[in-house]
Amino acid sequence: MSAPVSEAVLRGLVLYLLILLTVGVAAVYFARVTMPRPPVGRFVWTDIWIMVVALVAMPFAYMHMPVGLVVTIFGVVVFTVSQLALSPVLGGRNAALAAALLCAADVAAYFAGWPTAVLVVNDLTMILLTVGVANLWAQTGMKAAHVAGLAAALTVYDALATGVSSLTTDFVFRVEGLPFAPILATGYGPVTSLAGLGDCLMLAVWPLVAAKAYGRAAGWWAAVIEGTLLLGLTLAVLFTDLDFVPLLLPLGPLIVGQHLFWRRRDRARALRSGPDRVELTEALADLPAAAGSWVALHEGAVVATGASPGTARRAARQAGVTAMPVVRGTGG
Amino acid sequence: MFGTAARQMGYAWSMLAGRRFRVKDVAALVDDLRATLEEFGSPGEGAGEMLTAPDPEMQRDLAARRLRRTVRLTARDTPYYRRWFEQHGIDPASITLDSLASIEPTTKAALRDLPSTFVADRARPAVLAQTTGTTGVPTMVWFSRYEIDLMSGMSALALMLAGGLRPEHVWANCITSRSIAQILIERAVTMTGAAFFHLGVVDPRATLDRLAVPLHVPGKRPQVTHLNTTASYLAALVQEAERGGWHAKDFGLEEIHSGGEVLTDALKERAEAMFGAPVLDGYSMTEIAPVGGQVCGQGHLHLPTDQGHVEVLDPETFRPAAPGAHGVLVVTPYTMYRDTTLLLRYVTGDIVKVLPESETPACELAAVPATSRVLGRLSPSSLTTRDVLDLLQAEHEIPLPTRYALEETRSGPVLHAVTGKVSRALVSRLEERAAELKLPLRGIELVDDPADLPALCRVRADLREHTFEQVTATASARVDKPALRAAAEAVAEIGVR
Repeated sequence: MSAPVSEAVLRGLVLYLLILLTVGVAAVYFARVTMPRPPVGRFVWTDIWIMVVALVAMPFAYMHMPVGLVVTIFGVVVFTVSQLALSPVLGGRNAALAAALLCAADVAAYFAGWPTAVLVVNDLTMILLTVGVANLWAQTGMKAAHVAGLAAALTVYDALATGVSSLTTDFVFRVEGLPFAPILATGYGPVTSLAGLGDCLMLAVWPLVAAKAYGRAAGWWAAVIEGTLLLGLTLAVLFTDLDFVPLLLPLGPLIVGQHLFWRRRDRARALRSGPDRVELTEALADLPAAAGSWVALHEGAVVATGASPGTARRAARQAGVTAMPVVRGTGG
Repeated sequence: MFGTAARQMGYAWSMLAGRRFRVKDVAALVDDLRATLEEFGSPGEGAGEMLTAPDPEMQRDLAARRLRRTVRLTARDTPYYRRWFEQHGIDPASITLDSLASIEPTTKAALRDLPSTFVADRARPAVLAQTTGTTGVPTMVWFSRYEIDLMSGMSALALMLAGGLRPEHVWANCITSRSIAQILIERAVTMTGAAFFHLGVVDPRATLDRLAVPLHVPGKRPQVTHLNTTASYLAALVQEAERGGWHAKDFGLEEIHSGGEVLTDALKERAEAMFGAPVLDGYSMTEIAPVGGQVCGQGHLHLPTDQGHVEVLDPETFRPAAPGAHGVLVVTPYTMYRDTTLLLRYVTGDIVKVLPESETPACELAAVPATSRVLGRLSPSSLTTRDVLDLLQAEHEIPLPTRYALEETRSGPVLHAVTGKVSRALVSRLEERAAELKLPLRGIELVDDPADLPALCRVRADLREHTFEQVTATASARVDKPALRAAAEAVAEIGVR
């Protein structure tokens, strides 16, 4: 293996591990940390559509904005989300300080002309940003269907922006090496491996939401499927002529597929489980009519009677029935 | 999230600007909150600030702005106040918080005598509510659809945020169907997703039966969880439950809301023991809706200033009552909530005590202005309804709801009270306790029939509705006829009455 190839392999594997680390940190954060929620509101479909429109429109806008403005916008987002993500762990003031230091370090490294420092700090901010946003979504009620819907929309977008046009490539070349560039990278320049923020977010959020919606097994399966997919793509990029791979092209359908699979399994389970409110069905059994009489039933048997529904319930309690009986008239 | 944020901003803007709310947004905010609670079990951080501005400085500023606008619109739009301002040569625009006292307080009699003069020219009256009329004749108060929708929505927000009402709860109302509270609570409760059950003010035996009956409907608790009633009807329920051998375990009550009348500590404790649920004391009134108050754990009545301007005035002079002194609650509901029957400085007739300067509330509602609990009415001898009820309700021999009359004589007031069985020992105990409480009573007379009281004693528990089960039972017992025929006759009899 020649030197550039071995460096590319190394960078590719490091990126693979960085993404796995990001997904892992997001999962640990989700299990242990509760992010502050707004007083009222939860994730709804409108939010997904607003996000899709923003995600589709913003790269076009960024291509025509001055670089300074693009960096400023990203900087504000990074500071806000980092502060939000760190505040439950460090406290509000310390979190703001840490977020400010992180942002300052990114900018300082850029102006000092230390590309390696920019790379490291930027990756750190991207991991924090991914963990923060993924948890913000998952903890504010984003549902599996929402992630699947977002993944489906982004699959189409990614196929067009990365696979068909050069929009993603142009955008990456524009922001590469700048502070707060929304990419997780293992180097800048011709020999590099990188993943976009959108890809990282979808990779991080799906296991969380799948676990929340369908149980831990679904979360683990999501992580395993993502890990396998990433490994396959990493190897494909390293050992074939592929340059930019639209990650969401395979990831999106996989998320949608998993969502449909788990949802169908849950529905089938619900159908297989016994009917609800069995005690009411049992209470419909014929009883001898008694004028003006009400009976309290427990497990299908008459446990007390009364002149009115309330007194029948009271008589059941007096007879030692602690469960709530069904009270019915006797048709008399 | 984005939509909710936009609605919250609109809501906050209305609150800050003192202008009309977008009712659609308030209803949507209720839905958002309900969905939030269903998703997370509790609201997010800072939810309490949606109900009231936390900063006293900001509160004062908002109050000044809302009051100026209210005075201006009320003076411009209502015949009563238009005439009053013209007659007195006062420019409504000149009125501020400091000069509000220059407006003459509005008495209940003025509103009762000609309610339409208080209705705004551009109003769209939709609902005519009545007060219970315990003073003799009910007062008519018009409300618009805007007011009903807005107040229901805001009540729903308060029930969810402050009251902990959730979709699995079942709320039963035992208040008169004629009050605005009946309409507002029914709408507010159902907006929260909880179930509403209009029990009515029926025979207490029937109410207890309904409260005990298992419901078995999806998504709801098995029995009624919340009861909303007046203190006198609560007293009637307690009396009947004790007599009928009911036990707290027969009911599924989690909270009892009492309002509209004086609730004594003795009755509260007795009701809590009987029903196994805390009794919350609140204050509201049809005329001044949505202004209302809540009694805290330390026994203060806290009256938020967001919905109206509240003054405590000397009942004779209508000057601000001094700390520690009796005063009457005088309320100006803001026009951002009210657009139909508009009132300035409405004299509620409800007496409270201004808290002494040494008594600073340190309770969960400390940030909200407070007075003593409502003391009821004030007799010429300075006895309040609460003074008398505290004395009488401490005695379990005196039947509930408590009925009494004060007879003013030259040598002092004589208290006449209804008891089940007149006994010398009971009178002695009452006299001793009255002396301990330093009540200026000349004597205590017990009677066994309310008709023997020197004056009529009206309580809200008397606003009874009939049910066929009671009618049928009574009629069947009286004449030995088939039940159906007896019921038909009884119904006809009610019709004649």
